[in-house]
Amino acid sequence: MNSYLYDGTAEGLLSAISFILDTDAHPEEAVLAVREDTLFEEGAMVPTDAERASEFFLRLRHDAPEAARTLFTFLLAEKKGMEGSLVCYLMLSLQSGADVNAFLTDPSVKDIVATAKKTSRELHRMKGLLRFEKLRDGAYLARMEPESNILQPLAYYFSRRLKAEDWFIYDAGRRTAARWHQRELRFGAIEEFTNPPHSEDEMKVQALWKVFFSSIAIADRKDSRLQKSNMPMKYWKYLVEKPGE
Amino acid sequence: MDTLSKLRILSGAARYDAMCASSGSRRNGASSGTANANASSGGICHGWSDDGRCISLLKILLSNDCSYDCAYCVKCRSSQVERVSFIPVEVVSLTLDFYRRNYIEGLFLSSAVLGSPYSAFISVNDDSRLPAQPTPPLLREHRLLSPPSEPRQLVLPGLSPMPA
Ligand code: SF4
Repeated sequence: MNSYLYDGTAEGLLSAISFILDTDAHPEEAVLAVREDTLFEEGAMVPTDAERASEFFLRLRHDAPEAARTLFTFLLAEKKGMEGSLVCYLMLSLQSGADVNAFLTDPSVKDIVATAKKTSRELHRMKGLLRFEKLRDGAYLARMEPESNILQPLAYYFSRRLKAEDWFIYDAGRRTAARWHQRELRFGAIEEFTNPPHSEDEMKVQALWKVFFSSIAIADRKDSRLQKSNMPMKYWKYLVEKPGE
Repeated sequence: MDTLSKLRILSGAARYDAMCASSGSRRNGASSGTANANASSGGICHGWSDDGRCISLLKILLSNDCSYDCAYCVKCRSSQVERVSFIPVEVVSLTLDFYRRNYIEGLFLSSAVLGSPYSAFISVNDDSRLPAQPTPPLLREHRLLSPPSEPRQLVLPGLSPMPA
């Protein structure tokens, strides 16, 4: 059983996995962890090699496209401590090709697929629950605090949906933002965020939406349990119709 | 009457319509589209109302001012309810304002029979007095038959006059 360390980035992770699969006689037993620089750390540091990482990803996409998609979604979850499962999952994928996600009896496949599913569920939910506010300069701003790092795929989705507007999506937890400006999508980090002023009619439109939201519900059939199971309360903070709840 | 009060009445009147038969449409946005670029085919819920149902469309009546007298209907002519009608431009702005803020996927428009079934049929797109706006996402006419031979009515009899 060999131990390995990597720098904590996605590229570092893929470099290390590619290295392990190429050189270790028993990759399924390998231990892989993020290097923390503590005294008692054990393992060989695998250097991050961007080229090796992207080569590995391309090979995976060619040999097992479904697994490559799952890997991408899994990485968005930013879960640490599942590296061992990921090594086994990717080894299996490259051996068996496209249908690896069907091997749910294998614990590593189950772990990786379940985490990726959770992330894609959050992504799908945010496509509906993200709320834009119109700013004074005519641009739109949406704020969110998702569990997984879905900013990038979410922004691509909105670049098709809100093609002709100018907008920002801000991940308040990670302090990262996407900006769609003159039909170009950019990503960046935000040092300090201050809420920009709203456009004149923003509060009026929000009031209209609240009226619609409350009068479309059938009062005798109030069911807040069903409501919360479809729309978990952690997402309510930025909802116009449920602010601060 | 202001848009807010109309919305309260005309969305309340549509609340019993089936709610979720809605968002699974595929529609690719024109590259010049101002608002409605792309309706997702996956079925997107934009929220869940207090009774737990998914909201994906702005579901309203154009009018509850009905000239028919169906016995089972609260909007029938002999019933004593307050009568209101949206003007087309209100429906268009509501839809676009909500769409751009990602509140909705599109519009689900129903109406009582305002005047005759023919005159009640309007095309919001064809109304030349509307500001130059793109086609609202997913405009659906519901319950109203499209007139076979009569010319399209641009003005609805009985509707409040358009603002200049
Ligand atoms: S035509 Fe429709 S709205 Fe009018 S009374 Fe009959 S059911 Fe009601």
